[in-house]
Amino acid sequence: MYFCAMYSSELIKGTLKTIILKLLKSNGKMYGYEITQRVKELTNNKIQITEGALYPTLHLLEKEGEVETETENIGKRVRKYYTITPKGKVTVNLKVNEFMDFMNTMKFLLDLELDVGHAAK
Amino acid sequence: MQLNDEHIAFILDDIKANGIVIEDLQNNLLDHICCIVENEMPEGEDFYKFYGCIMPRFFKKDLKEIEEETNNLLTFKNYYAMKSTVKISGIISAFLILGGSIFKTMHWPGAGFMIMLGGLLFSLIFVPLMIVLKFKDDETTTDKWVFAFGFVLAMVAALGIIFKVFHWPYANFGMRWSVTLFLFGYIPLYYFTRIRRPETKFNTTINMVLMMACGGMMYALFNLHPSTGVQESVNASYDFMQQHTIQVSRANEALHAKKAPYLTSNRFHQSSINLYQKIDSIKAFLIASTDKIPLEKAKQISLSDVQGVNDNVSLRNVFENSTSEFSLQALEREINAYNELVAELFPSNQEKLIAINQLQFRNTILSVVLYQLSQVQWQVVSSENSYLEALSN
Repeated sequence: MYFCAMYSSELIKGTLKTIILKLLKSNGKMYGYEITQRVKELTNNKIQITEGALYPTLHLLEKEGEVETETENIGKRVRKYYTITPKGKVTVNLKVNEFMDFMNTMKFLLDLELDVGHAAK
Repeated sequence: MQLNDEHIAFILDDIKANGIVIEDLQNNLLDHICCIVENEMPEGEDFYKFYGCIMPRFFKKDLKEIEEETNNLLTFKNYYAMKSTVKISGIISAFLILGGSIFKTMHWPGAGFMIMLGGLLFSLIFVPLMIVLKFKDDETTTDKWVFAFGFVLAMVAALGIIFKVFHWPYANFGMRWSVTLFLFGYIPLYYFTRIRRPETKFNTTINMVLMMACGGMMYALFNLHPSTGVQESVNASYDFMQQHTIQVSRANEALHAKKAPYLTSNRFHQSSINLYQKIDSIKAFLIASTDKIPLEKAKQISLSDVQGVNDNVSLRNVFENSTSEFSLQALEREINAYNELVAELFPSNQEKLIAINQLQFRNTILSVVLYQLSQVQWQVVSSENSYLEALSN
């Protein structure tokens, strides 16, 4: 439900917070649609964040104080911009490091360095 | 395509109609949909048709899912914190209750505090959090409600035990009802909702037997009356004192008749008889009220034949909290009148005064009250006897 992509949702579940926080850290303030488009663009459509996953997570990040918001009226509608907070910056560093460590562990576990492309013997 | 006010109003109404209540989320979705239409709708395509095509990508079944997911995340954002709180509070409460019980057995200080803290942690933090977590689990609705019912009973039972340890009111009520409902409500529910599932059949039977054994033992422990041996010795002691009191009372009558010429006043004798008889009627009344037997029969009955010797409920109603002529209040009035006369007649003999404050008539059971009433009667007849004996012939 939460990711439409060439990867299985099991594989990328749990990385959504990291993706959003990292994007906000790199790009400054962003709004919902912009985030989904940026992810699509950066991953060549390999990862597409669905709205059903994006907005609940953004609300949670706001409640946890990882992001802060400001609104802008565009005609009859309101656009909400998200910006990463200092707390969010600390979190994203921790999460990125954790993810890197996880990838290294998986590389070792699946023997990827020794036999790239032929892991499953 | 540039959206006009009519389009925006249409999208917003549709979002609301599909169950999105949080205003913030409404605005987010409205802007998102507008962005999609503005950036992705092909030239010349009908807005309403395009809108119908893009909406399914927001959900699996309906749009409300986004709001539910948001609520779930916000409500259960502390899910893992809750789980660790459950673990920690469970372990601490188990150690506190166990430690408190050992301290209580050894009569060491701090036992009550440990048991209370452990019980409160268990019933007010551990169990409620377990109920919340249970509802979050991927179990059937029936299982969730059955377990929640069991947890609520555990909570009431634990609070009942704390109340019992501290001699607070309604302890028995909480404990008995929770264990009764556990034995005759929860266990059958647990059994019948799980026994038909092949994967849980064996464990269900084992758990049911264990729960029945524990519940049954708890039930047996609630009615902690004195042992038969203790009760029999109390009865024998009561009967002995009663018999002796009657003998001395009769002896006093004879002595009084014999020494009448030497008496300066009859007031002490009369006051002693009044108090003695008053206590006799109170005793008979209490036995009659507790055992629901006629007053005349209650006057003749021996303590070993009284059914409600361990009763405290009826005693509280008809004696402690009553204002009738057989109440504690009436007894205190009678004893005070007796004491005033004794103080006036024998200013140097303070040992004849009845120390009512040293007797415990409140928060106790019938046999204790009857025993103490007999002690007062014994003091009355003894005092009169020593007075009469001391009179010169």
